[in-house]
Amino acid sequence: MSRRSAPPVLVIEDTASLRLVYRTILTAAGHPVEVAASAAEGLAMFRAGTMRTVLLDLVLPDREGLHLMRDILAIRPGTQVIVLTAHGSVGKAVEAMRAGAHEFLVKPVEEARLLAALANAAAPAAPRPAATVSSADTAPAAAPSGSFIGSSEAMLRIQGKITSVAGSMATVFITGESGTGKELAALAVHGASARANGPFIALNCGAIPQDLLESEVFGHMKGSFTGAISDKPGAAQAADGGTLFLDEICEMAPALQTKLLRFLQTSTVVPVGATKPRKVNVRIVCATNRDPMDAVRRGQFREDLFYRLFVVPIHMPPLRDRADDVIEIAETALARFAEEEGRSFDGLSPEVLALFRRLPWPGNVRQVLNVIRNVVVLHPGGLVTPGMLPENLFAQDEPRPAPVAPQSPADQTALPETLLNRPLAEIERMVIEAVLTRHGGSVPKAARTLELSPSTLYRKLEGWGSAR
Amino acid sequence: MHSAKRRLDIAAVSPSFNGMSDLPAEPPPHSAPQLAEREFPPQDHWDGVWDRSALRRLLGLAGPEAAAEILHHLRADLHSACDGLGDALSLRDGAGLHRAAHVLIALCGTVGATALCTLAERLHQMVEGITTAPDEALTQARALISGVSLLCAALLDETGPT
Repeated sequence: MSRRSAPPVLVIEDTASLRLVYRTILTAAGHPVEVAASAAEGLAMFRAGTMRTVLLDLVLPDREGLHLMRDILAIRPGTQVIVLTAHGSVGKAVEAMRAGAHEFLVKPVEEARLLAALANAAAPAAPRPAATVSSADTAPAAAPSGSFIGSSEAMLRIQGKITSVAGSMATVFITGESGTGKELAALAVHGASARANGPFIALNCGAIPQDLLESEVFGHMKGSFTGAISDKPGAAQAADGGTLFLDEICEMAPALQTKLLRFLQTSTVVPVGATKPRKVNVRIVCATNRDPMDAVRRGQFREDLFYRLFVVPIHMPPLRDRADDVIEIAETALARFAEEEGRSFDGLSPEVLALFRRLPWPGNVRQVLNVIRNVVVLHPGGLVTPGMLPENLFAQDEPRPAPVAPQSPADQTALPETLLNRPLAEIERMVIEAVLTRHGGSVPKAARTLELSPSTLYRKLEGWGSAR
Repeated sequence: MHSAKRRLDIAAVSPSFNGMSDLPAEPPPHSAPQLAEREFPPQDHWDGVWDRSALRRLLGLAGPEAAAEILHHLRADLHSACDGLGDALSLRDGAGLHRAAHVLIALCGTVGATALCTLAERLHQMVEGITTAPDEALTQARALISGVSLLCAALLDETGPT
């Protein structure tokens, strides 16, 4: 269908000049356009017409734009509503995205951004998957096994949220501790979206040296710096038509945050050393294991970028908050790993089940998978008993003192009894091993938490004879 | 309440904008004219505060007739938003300033007056959820009115494609 024969785009904007500006831009790009100056006029035109895309100002003289959007979506649920709001009113836009808006644009709207939003809205929607991503069978092929298993209320809520947000262009911001399945959630969003056949590009902002990160995200031109021996497209370009997953987003350097903001506003990338921007069509999903608001408060993360990204938040709960899921995950992983390794196991013994329910699992799902993998690799089969589990797992089973409100300054500095009777070197080792476990064995992540250089940590591990 | 409103004829407002004698007194760190001049200086110093390329591209897309209509409406909307700003200023009405600033962010940004757009954004943020506008917001609003009046005058020189 040519654009001229497509249903018109309905622009609802009360400021006459802006109405004309949007109409001019859209008409010049070949979109048929109808305009309305108020909520009442817009709703009447929408009822009478066949519009599938609406450009809606959230601040209208006769009615809240958000209420109007709800009416529009109730009349024709498939309508793509792109909401317009001013800088500083992003909270309203976030509310609109949660209520079903396809995308939001911050005024003043640049021509390229407006046309990119319209192009995204016009893209045909892929059929939604028949099932949710609640089981390993329906999870995307690249998903690590076991991570998205769980029938707890929290996980069902997350699966529902992923299904409802997948069809929109809204940026998804996933938070949660290490090992809770943030990347898997990002994959699930991608897999259930209209972009499922496009690329899914994941980039760990914390794992790439800051001076290479710009080149990794936006690409570079041959000769733009020493070692740039050929043109290289960045992750943003590689994700064109698909999803760009930015993990550990809070680790991004401030200068690059500015460029990412610009990218989000214009949908264009400028590779290092390039003079002209290149247009890309990318959906952003990002994640962090930190509290992003805290990073904003500390000045480590730009507030405007935070509000741009924090449109649909998804929090992956830690495993200790969904104890029954542990068993489901462990049993599924046992069956799967046993098959992979050609072993035969008869399940988990009642003692193991009880222990698994009790443990705090600081490394979350990743830790459970590692424990089960360890059992399967080191034992020929049979019923999994406590004796088959890695020894360090039992250290986490020690009863923790119940939290007590501090009574005096001395109480505030109180340390667990288990530490007070040990030499300092041993305490250091315990702390480092616990932090490593929490980060699923990742030395760089543990080093960051401990504020040590990774090389120092590696040296200590080698010194203890536990080099990995 | 309505009788207390002042109407500002922006076309008659000079760059020094001295028609605010009945407004609440405030001790500005910079005077409104100083701020206005910083945000929208004389024609020789528009680099970095007014990038007309986007506006001219838009007018080019529109063609001669529609370009004239766009320019007419842009000036009218800028005037109208400034009227709203003046009314709200005289009443220290935070919500009114917020509304007017909201419109000016879009209008100033659309014509490429980036510094004025930033000033409007600052004012918008400053009076978010505030009933009685603080003195600092009044200074910003005065500067914005002065700057926008200069912008309106400058827009008169834009003719669009011929």
